[in-house]
Amino acid sequence: MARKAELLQGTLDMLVLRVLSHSELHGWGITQRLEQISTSALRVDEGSLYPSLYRMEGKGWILGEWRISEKNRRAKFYRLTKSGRKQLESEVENWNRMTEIIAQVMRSV
Amino acid sequence: MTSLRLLVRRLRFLFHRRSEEQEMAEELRLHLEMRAEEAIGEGVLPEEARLAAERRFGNKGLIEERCRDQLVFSELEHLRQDVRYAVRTLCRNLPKPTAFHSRIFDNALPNRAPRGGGPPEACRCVPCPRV
Repeated sequence: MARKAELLQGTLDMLVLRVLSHSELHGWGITQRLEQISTSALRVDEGSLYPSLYRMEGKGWILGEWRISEKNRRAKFYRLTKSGRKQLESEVENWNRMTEIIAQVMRSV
Repeated sequence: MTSLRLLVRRLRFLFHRRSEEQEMAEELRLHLEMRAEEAIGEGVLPEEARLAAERRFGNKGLIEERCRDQLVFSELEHLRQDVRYAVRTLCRNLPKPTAFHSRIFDNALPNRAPRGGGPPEACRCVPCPRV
């Protein structure tokens, strides 16, 4: 198991969009996938996840639909929209630029 | 385009508020159930699993409010809350009927029963039949 890390502020949206770019998931599924991919290093603040999902749904980046899950339960599944893909690309580009700048500063100081 | 989508989403929430809020509550409830089931699968007792899931999830009411905040028209929501508060305050502070009000009613309604008991004024001229 990797060392635990706090989710950086402002990165939750990007991570959720990234997860949804591969498959349609409900809120619980998103939490599980993030924990799985990060080998449990990332612990998602569930209190922040749902407001984030509702915000992104309001902005049209994701679309929520009620369906029956694999466990025969009614759940709201989210999928990425076209504008969501564009937003994800923009956020990834911003993230890469930011990490590069920070690394540069840390190297030089 | 994003603004239009957001407007449509907010309008849907405005006009179907009850069903939207029920769905929101159902979504959060499902998450808690799945979290608890995961813990039960690891051998935790059901009641403990449920409490641990709730603790980890946080204040459900607050989370629902934060979700709602994403979808309401904030100005309308503030207006709605202000109107509700005003009506509640008004109802709480309505003046209670006093002796003055009773006297007004007594004078306005001559057929009311007199204070000493007995039939109302309008019935007094007709004697009650003896049986």
